[in-house]
Order: sequence, then structure tokens, then C-alpha cells
Amino acid sequence: MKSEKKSVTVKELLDGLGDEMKFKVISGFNGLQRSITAAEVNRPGLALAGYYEHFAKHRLQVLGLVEMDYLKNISSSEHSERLGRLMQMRIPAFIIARNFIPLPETVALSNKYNVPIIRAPGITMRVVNKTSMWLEEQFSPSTKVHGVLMEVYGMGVLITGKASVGKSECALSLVERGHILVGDDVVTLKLTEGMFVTGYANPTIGHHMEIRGIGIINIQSLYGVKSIRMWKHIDFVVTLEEWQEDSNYERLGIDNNLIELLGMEIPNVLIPVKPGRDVALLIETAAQNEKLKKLGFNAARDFNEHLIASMKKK
Amino acid sequence: MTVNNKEIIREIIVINKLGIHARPSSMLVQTANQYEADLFVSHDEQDEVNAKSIMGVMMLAAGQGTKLRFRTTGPDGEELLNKIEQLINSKFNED
Repeated sequence: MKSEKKSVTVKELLDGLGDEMKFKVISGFNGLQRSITAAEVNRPGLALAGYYEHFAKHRLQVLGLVEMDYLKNISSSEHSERLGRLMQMRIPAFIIARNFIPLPETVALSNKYNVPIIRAPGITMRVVNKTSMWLEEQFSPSTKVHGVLMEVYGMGVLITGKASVGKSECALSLVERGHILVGDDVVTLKLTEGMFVTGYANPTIGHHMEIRGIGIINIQSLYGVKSIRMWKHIDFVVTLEEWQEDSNYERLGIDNNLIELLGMEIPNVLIPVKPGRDVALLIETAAQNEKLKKLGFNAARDFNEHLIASMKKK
Repeated sequence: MTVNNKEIIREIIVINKLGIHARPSSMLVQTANQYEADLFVSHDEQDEVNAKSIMGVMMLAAGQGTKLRFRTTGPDGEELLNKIEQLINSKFNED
């Protein structure tokens, strides 16, 4: 189910980032379906000066102070020849930072070749950073998993396990104790910033849960807005399974069990479920224990060191 | 054994007016849960969800005319698909 987007359109960029960056398309409206296939953005300074070798034509082109000033200072024949050449290379769009106003000739070329020009009030560096971060997020691998994502004591916990093992009930119990629900049942995972596995609530399901015997409940209206959030980095995975007498469950916790999610290794805690076991309490404990490990303290190892030391004394 | 557990895929078009909303979802999930076979459903490859989970099925938000792709593995998969097809074609006793 793992998937990776290969391209986004200029329109998708405007829909996704337009409000935050106050993007405004001023020309080349017929080119809004052009696709962006690279996560990086480019500043086309050298190409504007006439050097086209290795020009990053698949990238969004950001025009800042230098480029805009340069365009003003070249002759109009140079202007139309160079910009015209760039626009025929099927670049996705231009973004002009600092709300600079483009020359009428630039606008005319943009309409002629249907390459959108987008104006943005932000300074160039901010436009470059924000846009590349957004693009990187779009191109990062993603997948869907069956489970519940919660924030427990600040830790992102993905609770997985077979159908009707009690994931939702356990999550409800955690919410009742003041923890936070991100998403129930189907959680979208994305690799963000190349190192975090981030889980997102599903927009259709929102913060609804289905509890056998009761039906669909709305966590936000039952427990308040404090009990929900939209996304969370995943710190560890809890796998719930029916207690099996012949299975050897973790007794020490000295070694970390790991599970692979989107190519990243995430600690995995297997918790057997049987009537009378307070699974929510166990997950709270696991969360605190993982938090300690993250801070460099491993209770099991620490205990073992003490044990070895006391044996040496004898 | 392996012969029985082969994967079967069937595409079924949603024909009832309101699409797979809450009630049809629950009927679908209840049917799926009566069988041993696993059942997954999607609009397209990417959005496959477990058809035994009601929230998953509702998440598809499959309106009238949507082509759903059901994928099953398990001994009684064929029988399950027949039942599901029957259910969808009966318009979930709505309309």
C-alpha cells in the first residue's frame, strides 16, 4: 500500500500553500495544470544571464530581488529572448518573492507560453524554504495502516493489532485518562523531513470512533477539543494480541524490538491482552518507559547493571 | 489449502442513491465479518481499506456510480464476494 507521488500540479500547490504564503496568480492562468516533478526550487539567475546548461527546468523558478533587478537592466530583446527560452522549456511556474511587480513584457510572455506567474509577499528565502518543504512533503513516501494513533504523555503511539482485539476500546480508555486521539482505524503515515514517520487523521473519519455495542462516537464533542490533534510523529508502535499461553512475552525490556515503517525503524512493544489486564495503563507505562529510553535511561539495563554490581561485591 | 486461499478480485459498482453511507457500511461490514476470508476494498490501488472495519468502509465515501474493487483471500472468499455483490445490487434495501 506504500505509495509515492511523482508530481503535483501548480494548482495543487496554490490550494495547499496559497493561503499561508498569500500566493496570487497574476498571469499564465492556462498553465495551472502544469506539473512540478522536483521537490527543490530553483533561482534562475544564470539562465537569465544566458547560461542554459544544466538548467533545472523541472523546478519551480523563484525570482527574488537579484533576478527582478537584473531583468529590469537588460535590453528588451534580451529579456524576451531569454525569458522566452526559459518558458519554452516547460518549467512549471515562476514565483516572484517580496511582491515585486513584473515588467509588462514578462507578463505578456507568461500569457503567451502559459507559464503561471505567482506573486508572494514573503522574502525570497522564506518563499524558497516554505515551498521546498511543502513540495518535499508531497513527494515523500506514504502509506495507510490499520490502527489507532494517540498521543500519550507527549509520545506518539500507534496502536495496532487484529480486528476486534480492542484497539478502539483501549484508545477510548486513554482519551478518558486525558490523552489525545489523532486518528482511529485508518491512519495515513508519511515520511517527513526524511526522518520522522508522521501519522495524520483521516479527513473523512475525523475524530470519530466506532465502539462495538455503542456505535459511532465523536471524541471532540464528548471530550473536548483538548482530546484531539491532527497529526503526530510516531515514537513507538504498540501491537496488541490475544494472550497466548505458549507465547514468550517480553519480561525484561533490555533489548529494543523494532518494526519497520516507511523504511524507518520504530520501537515496537507487544502487549498481550486478556480480561482483567488494564491495557490503557500498560500503554501509559510503555509510553513513559519509551520516553525515558529516548532521554537515555533504560530501566531494565540500569537494573541489570545494579544487579551485576551487587554480585561483584559479594 | 493454497488452492482455496487464492486471491479473488471483483469490481462492483455502487448503485444506491446515497452511496455507501453509515447504514450500508454497517451492512457490508456485518456481512464481511460472517466469513473467514479477509476482504479489502478500494476505489483505486492506493486507498485499500479493510472491509471488516466500518470506519474504513465509510472513509471510502463511495457515492453512487463509484466502482469499488474488492479483493479477498481465504477459503470462503468467493461465497463472500457473491454475498457482497448481492447486497450492493439490492441497493441495501434503500431507494
